[in-house]
Amino acid sequence: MKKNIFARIWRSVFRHGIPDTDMNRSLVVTSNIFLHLHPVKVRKHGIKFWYTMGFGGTSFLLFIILVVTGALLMLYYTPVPSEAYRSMKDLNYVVSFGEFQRNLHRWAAHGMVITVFLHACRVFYTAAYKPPREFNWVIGVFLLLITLGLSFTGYLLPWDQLSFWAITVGTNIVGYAPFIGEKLKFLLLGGNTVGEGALLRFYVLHCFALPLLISIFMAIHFWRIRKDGGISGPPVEVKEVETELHSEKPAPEKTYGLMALVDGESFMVKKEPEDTVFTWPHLVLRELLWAMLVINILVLISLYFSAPLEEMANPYKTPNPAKAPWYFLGLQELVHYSAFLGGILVPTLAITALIILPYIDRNPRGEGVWFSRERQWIQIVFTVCVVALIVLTIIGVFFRGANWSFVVPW
Amino acid sequence: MIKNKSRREFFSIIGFIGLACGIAGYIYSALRFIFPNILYEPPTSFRIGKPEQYKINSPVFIRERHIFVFYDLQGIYSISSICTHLGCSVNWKHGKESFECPCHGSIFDKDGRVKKGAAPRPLERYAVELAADGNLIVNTGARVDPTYRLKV
Repeated sequence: MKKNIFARIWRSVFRHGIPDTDMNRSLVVTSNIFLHLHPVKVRKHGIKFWYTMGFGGTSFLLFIILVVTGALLMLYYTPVPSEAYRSMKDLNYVVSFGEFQRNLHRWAAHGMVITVFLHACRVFYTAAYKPPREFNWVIGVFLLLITLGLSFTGYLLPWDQLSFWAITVGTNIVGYAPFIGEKLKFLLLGGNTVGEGALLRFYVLHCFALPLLISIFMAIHFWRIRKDGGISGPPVEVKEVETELHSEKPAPEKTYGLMALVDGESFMVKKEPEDTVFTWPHLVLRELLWAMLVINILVLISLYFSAPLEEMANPYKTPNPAKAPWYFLGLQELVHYSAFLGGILVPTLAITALIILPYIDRNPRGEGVWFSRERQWIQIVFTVCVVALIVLTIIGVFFRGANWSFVVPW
Repeated sequence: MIKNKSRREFFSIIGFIGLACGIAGYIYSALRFIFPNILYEPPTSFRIGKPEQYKINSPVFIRERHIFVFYDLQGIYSISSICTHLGCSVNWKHGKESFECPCHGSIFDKDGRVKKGAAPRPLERYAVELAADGNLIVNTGARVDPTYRLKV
């Protein structure tokens, strides 16, 4: 009797048996709201670690970590200039594991900027944005921008010298945009200077508006991966098998279930039959292991390295040098030559180029292979841009000292 | 019957437009809402003491107002300490008689003109007036040209 009740409760939650048969391995994915993000079966090629290196999934995992640690930090944080810095001191010195949670949040945020960037590079070098995935690349570009926005808005919240002057420089760059620059800067700051209005606005953007926006875009991004045929890969090999055609009609492109028996071929006819494996356990286990590994690495980093906290923001004293967050230092390096060049022209051109990239790259070859020799030119151009960005960023981070003069870090 | 149908269509369209206008109105209000009308920022006009407090050729930095006050043989003038490049606070270098920005290395001369660097404009110069009670008043809302001086 007792056993029966437990069985009934179990059955009310999980509608399938233990996934030891192909039937249950399918049901475990399709009947679970979280797992049904995945298809029931995935191509072996797609789950090879060295194909994706898990950059996209890691970005998502880091986002989850940021939501959790961010919600915890909100319990002790007050977004008012007189209180914000004190909150940070409390977190660092009074709250149990406060500094640890803050470190986790900080390093996960930096990590997410890196993994989203690397994910974009992976997608480029494996030509995964080729039709029908062009638009999902565009969504991805927006996800990259929102990630930078989230990181940038979070940067002001500690209200120390580092954050205050990074945001002062950053929002002044916005002011250089033609026509709308000054208005946009005023809107962002809720005033003319970085003050209490700006802090509250950045807080709302950081904790509510941008997380909501990125969630919506992520939902579209993940949904489209499925709709565009799952993870990219080289075209499925066609096996040369002699078959007799039953009719002249083209084969149906997709079959979802057994509705009726009709004449014709399934879309897998003539194709390699053993190309796929079940998502459960092959992909799910890999994801679980990878997630646990990443979380543990992040915990170790956060135990040993502390997020910076300088003295309280002082609007009257600019530290020398005053640097933007590291991922904007490539731009700041350009801004040092000309604010319009680094602040507006280069970012606008770069973002536009990224968005239209899948539509101008009409070369149909090379999909699903790293560094395909069939698309050398575009890879050279992209690599030159990426290397330029990295070099400028390294110069900005390590080789710029007082008055932005060139210094040698050793 | 046909007439009835077209009347129904007409009112449907009117109704639809009406509802859409309501939503558009709300969107306008939300956009307008995010532009503040009152700023709790420091006043743009303030007193900086009497002319006698300032010595010839030794600039004074009033940090909470982000201005430098200069007094030379031609008169008194005030220059903003906010770099026109990206808003950092410039420092006065006594020996070199120039302003240097710590952020991106822009250098301005004594009159605020750009000598070097990426700054697109000279440092702002603000109007200085003498109030009836003998105090100097700086108005950061009124920008004046780089030759402006208050004769005292």
